[in-house]
Amino acid sequence: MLRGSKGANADREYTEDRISVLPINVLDYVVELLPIEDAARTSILSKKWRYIWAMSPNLVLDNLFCNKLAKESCSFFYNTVDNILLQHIGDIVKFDLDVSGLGLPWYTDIDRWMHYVTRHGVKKLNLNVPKNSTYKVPSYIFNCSTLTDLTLSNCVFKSPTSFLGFQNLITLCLKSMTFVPTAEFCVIKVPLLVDLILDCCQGTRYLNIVSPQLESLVVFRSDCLELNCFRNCKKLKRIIFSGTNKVVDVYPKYLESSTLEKFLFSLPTLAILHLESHFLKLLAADNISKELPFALDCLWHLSLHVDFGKLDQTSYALQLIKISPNLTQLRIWVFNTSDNAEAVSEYLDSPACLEQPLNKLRHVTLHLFKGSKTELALVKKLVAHTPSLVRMSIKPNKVMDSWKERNIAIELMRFSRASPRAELLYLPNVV
Amino acid sequence: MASSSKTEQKKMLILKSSEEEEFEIEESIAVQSGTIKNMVEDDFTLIPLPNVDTETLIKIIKYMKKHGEKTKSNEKDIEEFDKEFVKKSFTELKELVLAANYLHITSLIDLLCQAFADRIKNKSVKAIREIFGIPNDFTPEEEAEVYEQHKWAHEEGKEHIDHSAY
Repeated sequence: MLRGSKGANADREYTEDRISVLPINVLDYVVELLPIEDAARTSILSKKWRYIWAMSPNLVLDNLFCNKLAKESCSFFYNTVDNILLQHIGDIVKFDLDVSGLGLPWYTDIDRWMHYVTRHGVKKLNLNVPKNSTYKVPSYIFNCSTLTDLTLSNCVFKSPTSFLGFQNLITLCLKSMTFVPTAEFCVIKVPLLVDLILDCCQGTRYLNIVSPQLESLVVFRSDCLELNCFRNCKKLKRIIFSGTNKVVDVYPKYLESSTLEKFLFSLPTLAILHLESHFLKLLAADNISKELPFALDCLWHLSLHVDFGKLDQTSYALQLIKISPNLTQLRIWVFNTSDNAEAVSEYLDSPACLEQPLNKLRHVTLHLFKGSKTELALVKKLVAHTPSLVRMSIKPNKVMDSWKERNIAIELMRFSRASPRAELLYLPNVV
Repeated sequence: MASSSKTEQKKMLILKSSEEEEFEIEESIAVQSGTIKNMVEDDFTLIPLPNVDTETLIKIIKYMKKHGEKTKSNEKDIEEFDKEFVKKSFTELKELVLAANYLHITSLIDLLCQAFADRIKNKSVKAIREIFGIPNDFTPEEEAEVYEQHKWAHEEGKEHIDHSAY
């Protein structure tokens, strides 16, 4: 074993154990950074390494890993996961299990594993089961008081009547979940919750989430949300509401425009607002050219999907911009129909549309730019009223012919700028 | 050391390696090290680092200087720097992680541990033992037992028993 030769490649020496002299906290961390198979393999390196992985606080059984095991056979998969959990020493801080690629019945096994990890102090749990499964979130998860981060995908959420909530939960992410209420509502008490994400969930109208510390609310493509439960979230800073790309009239049945408006304007600390697809349509519906009697004093970032063929949407968008004195970043996705382009262009060109300068606005981005008259009118208006503008980025949605691009460039060059150092960037190849 | 006539005086510290060589560095950059930060709070300006040799200290200072000027626009630049930074021999990385651990420079510890993890990933047990010079101190029975326990982790056909150890 002693090969004394000091060859050109020093790494090839056998003489000393060079990695194991590292302090145990470093070795622990290195093993934590390895994917599960590599991490498990380190147990056989030497006696010093024998239990490093067994004591590692994180167990990530991702999609690739689970599918690979299940390919052998289902029982091989179950036995291996049982084995991994049983040989683990100490608390499990993070447990990720992605069985979404597996097809066969396994509910009792998953329950058993959830029972195990929740009894071993799990704080960060991520469970992903196959789509369209009817796997019910087990009582072990509802009763787990150590959870700080919980992500669940594709399960059925039916909380027991005795459900006290998650006392320590800080982040909750629910994807493609189905909520089934036991009483009138599905009440989830989460006194420390800061971040909530609802992605593609069904039955969200039954949700009553009690989260007084909530700072960020993100809702993707979920059916109606009962916004009243968030009225007491006085710390809410970030709201992202995203629907489908098509402007579908699904929401108005459950969600009144005035409710949404009242909700948005009742949040004293709202700093980031991102409204996609039909939300602006909803807000604008009852609201032709009415002045908004509120101010969004803390808002510094606004993202909107706007249909520039519709006068009500365009005017509402401008209203939102005008009532946000501290707005520094603005992003607009252009959805364009030719419905009422003349009226919209007229509106945008009129001085009444925007009289006061937008003093704090520094960055503006226009996505899916099509080069229409209304869009150019908007750019002209914004550029003329933004004395602090640093950059206006215009991103076309697809390649335009060079003639059209040239004309657009000529137009843009003519606009007078309130901010002499503003950059006007046309970015055809950047998403 | 000529005194600057600028109105803005940047507070400087002196770091001394185990070989008694001294290096001047701005305090604002040096406090990326938790250990140095604590000493600064106790009013030290000359920081002796008996656990860190000169060569390693030079590299650490280079890292801290680069990361000290981190802004939103040069993120790519720093990523490139980090990638190049870990292209070192194993012994150098070992010295660096020992020093980073002692100095409590979290981002550097993260970077170096990731570099070690990357060198272990996808390698067979035999290869890892060879690269890092880890002697196999298991008896054949013990080793077989460990292998059984984690059979699923060992790819089929890969040799796990290192007969060359005996």
